[in-house]
Amino acid sequence: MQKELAEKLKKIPMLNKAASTSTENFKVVSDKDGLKSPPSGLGAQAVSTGPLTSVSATPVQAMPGLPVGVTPSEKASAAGGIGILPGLTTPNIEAVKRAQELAAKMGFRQDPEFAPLINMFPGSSSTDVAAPQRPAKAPVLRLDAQGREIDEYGNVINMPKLTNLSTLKVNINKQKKEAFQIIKPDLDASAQSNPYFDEGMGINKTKLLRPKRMTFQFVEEGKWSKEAEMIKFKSQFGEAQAKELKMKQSQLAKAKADPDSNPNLIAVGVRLTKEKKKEEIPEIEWWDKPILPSGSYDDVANVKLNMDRITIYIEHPLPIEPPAEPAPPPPQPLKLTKKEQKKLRTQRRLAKERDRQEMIRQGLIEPPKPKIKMSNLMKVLGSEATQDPTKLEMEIRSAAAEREQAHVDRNIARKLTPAERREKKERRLFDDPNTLETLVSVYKIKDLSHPQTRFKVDVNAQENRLTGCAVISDGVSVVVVEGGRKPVKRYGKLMLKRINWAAAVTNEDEAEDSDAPANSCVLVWQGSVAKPSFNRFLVHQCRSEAAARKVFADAGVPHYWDLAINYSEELL
Amino acid sequence: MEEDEPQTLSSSPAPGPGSVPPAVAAPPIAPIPPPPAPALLLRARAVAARADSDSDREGSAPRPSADDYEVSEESRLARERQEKAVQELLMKRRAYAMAVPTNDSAVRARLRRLGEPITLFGEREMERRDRLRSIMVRLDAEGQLERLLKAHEDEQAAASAAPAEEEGPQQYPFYTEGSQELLQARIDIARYSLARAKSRIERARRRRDDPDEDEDAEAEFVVNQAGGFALECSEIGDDRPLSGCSFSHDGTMLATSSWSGVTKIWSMPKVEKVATLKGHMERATDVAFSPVDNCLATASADRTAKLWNIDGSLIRSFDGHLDRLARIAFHPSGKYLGTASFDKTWRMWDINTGTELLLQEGHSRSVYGICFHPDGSLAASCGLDALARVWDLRTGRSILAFEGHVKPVLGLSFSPNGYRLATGSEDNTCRIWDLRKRKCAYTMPAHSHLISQVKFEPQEGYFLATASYDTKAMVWSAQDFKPVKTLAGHEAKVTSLDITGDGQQIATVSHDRTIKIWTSRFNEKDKAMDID
Repeated sequence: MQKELAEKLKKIPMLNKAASTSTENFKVVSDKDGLKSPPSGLGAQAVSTGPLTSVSATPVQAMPGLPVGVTPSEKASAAGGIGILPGLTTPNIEAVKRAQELAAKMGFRQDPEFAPLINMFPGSSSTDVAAPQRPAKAPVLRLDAQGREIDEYGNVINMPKLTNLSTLKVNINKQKKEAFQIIKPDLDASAQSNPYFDEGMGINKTKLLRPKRMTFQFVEEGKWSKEAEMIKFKSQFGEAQAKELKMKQSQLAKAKADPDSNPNLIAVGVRLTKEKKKEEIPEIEWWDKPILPSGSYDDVANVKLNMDRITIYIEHPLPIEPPAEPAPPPPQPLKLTKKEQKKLRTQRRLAKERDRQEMIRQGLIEPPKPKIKMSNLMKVLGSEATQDPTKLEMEIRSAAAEREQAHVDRNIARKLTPAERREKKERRLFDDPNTLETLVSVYKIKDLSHPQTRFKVDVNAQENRLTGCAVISDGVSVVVVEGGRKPVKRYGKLMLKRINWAAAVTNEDEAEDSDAPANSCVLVWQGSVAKPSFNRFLVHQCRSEAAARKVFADAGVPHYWDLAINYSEELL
Repeated sequence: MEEDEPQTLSSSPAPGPGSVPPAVAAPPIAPIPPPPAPALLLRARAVAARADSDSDREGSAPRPSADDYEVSEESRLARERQEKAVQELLMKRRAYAMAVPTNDSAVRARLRRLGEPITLFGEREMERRDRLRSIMVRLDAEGQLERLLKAHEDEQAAASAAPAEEEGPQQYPFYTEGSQELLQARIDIARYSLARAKSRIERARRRRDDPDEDEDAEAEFVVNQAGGFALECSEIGDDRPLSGCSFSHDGTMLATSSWSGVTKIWSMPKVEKVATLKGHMERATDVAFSPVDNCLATASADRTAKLWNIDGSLIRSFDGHLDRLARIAFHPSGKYLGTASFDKTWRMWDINTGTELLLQEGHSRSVYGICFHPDGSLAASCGLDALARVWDLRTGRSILAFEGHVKPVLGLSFSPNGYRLATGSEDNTCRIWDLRKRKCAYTMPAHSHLISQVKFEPQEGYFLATASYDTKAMVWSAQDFKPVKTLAGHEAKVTSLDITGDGQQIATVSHDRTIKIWTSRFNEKDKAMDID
């Protein structure tokens, strides 16, 4: 390949000479090079342009590909080639311009293949001013084989169609553009006419003639980030895995794109839900329908009312009882002053005692035994005590023990059993006869990720027998509890007073960050509902807000989430 | 203890067969034997009964039913005697506990009912009462309680003397005939409301179809503007807590009612007192300006509503309610006034004649709030039965009953768009009801205390405002029901609020006796944002 290249470089001056002398000679060269000549509709000059430019372009293209280690025999020529080329690049714009002018003069235009070439050069705008000039001689119509009008040189004359001169900017621009496009450069012509033309100038014809893209090419969103990700992945895990990932991703994208590409699979309903659904406006409000016999508002002007419905009667509908009204309080006992209470107690005790005495008098009950103690032993028993003092003392002591035991037993009997005690405690903690409805509290917490607080939130709710949920989303956490008045109050104290939210963040350095707002918990709403919406207390970890809202929507209370999200201090 | 003692004591003489039965006062001081097994005790007692037959201390012991031993005559007599004594004692106790009328006439009446002579010769009140007592005790003992009870019932029935000739429970719903004026008013309302409904529907349709109108953008703009509500002015309204407020239809006047019974009218841009309306004997509970002309109505706890001119002269008083009034509302035509009362009814009055057109029952508890549909076709009432009822004023039917609130509903408002109804309740929620779908559209957990008043913005209903006893009022978007602005400034319960016709100003009144005016300060902010 290197050899070939060197040969070509050698041939450049020769070619130049050949081009200037005769066309036949050139044709041989071009055939030898294996280049295809363009369709021969054009004149000789047009034919010659193709091979020349292509040949002269070849070294320029090939140069960067030249290896450094060239063989010494060919080194000189190669170096010579290189030496010429840099000098060529600077004047080529002027050269092209000249070529364009020349071409324009010759009426050499409207070849779509060459049209874009002009646009490659910034200075070429001057050429479009050169309006197509018509020969001053008497018009002679010449036609070529295809029936096109040609001039005396055999060049095709392209007559601009005379159209209505439009003053619209759009049309002017369009015309301008058309005028702009029709001119094509004639490198060959310039090379012919200008003795100083340097064909080693490096005008890359293929590059110049690359068809202009008619539309913008936008970079798809996420393309570069994807690429960057890929590179990162590659540096992390190596080539093979990166390839695998790429495969996976492309498959995923394909799978994703596939249903979209099939128009039959696009659900019509999907698009409808995206746009905001508006309530439809009925023809007639349903409550107006029975009054209007025609069923539309049209005859309002005629004032034809359905007098069967407009009557003189007043309806008395069934009154509906409120859903959660506490029972009226039981009648309160008569309130007595302290003095009255004491008096009543005395009277009651006296009456009881009198009753007892009466019964004893009538012999209905046994009179109580005299209470014998060691101190009054001699007084009560007198001489009896002296007969067997040991026995009597024993008796007295056992009687005393029995009395004491009876006292203890009475006290024990009065005590509640463990089950009853448990029940009473429970009643105290959870029972509330006055509230039939369920109280709900909604708390909003910035960060509930700390395991300790999460545990507290969860376990306290369960131990207070509250139902609800704690939904942990990335930015915000919402805790909803519902239950009786007392447990909800206790839980509120836990959330708003007992837990130190500012300290409850997962990593300590974040806590010390003063610029970030401190973690906090606010009571968003507290109110009552007819019955609880949740069955138990659960902690949900949600990845997105939509998922979090779904937790609430499933329970039928999406408004809790909405409110908590929309609640902010700045509203206040 | 008392029951147990005689048993142990009675068994104590048994082990000592030789001992003489001692006197009642002095039982033998003997070592207390361990209580014998029941069977043993029984036999021992039987033996003892046979042995010392003259003992009269046997009665309290349970008697064996078996006749495997004969009982001596004396013992039997003694036992009977004792039983009789016990009976007497119990009877006496019961007599003491029995409720006997103390009034002499009641005693005589009771005696007559029982078929006894109402008085004996030389008998005084106390003796008569004692006689009644003894008779009652005897009857009670004979098991003639029913007779007694019947006598008692008769007495009660005679006392109440109510005819109460109802044949079973009332069948609901039932209908009663109203007055001719009511029929005329219904026809009038029908004509009025149908025209309004037609124009409203047509307008909504036109707005929906018109490509130049963007309802969403307009709503968003209005809501954004509502986010700029800020305290404009605060004025002490009265010496007592304020209960209600209302803007006049052109927004140039504001009326406030207070617990002193006085209603005051204030000129609007700067709140200056124009007139004082004195006339109510009790606290005034609400005030409402007429939607068409410059007159206003006040409701009061003295069971009347009054209609006033703005110069402070009384036009008319509407008497008829049986209990204190709560809220009042004008019909959009301005010809009728609705009043809600604690006598479980709401009534509709003719403004011009002052007649009571309609007395509407239907709530099982007191009615607190009332509101009219912008068309004038419907009325909504709410009350302490946690219910909002929608009534068709033309047909007189209760067409909807919205159940959903848990606690009393205190405020309600129709949206100007004609199919939304907002209710605020003691359960701290505000519910939005859809009249067309006949169900709850949204529940707003709104405040931390009860919601005393709800009002839609009267122009298009793009936002609504709620007043609450948590000392705040809040503005909510009516599209997505998100909080837009909290109007915090009052120091006590906010009892009522009103919005001007153009939706630019909100007035709130509170138990802290101040009127606060909130104005939208959005314009400057908007411009600033535009520069950005």
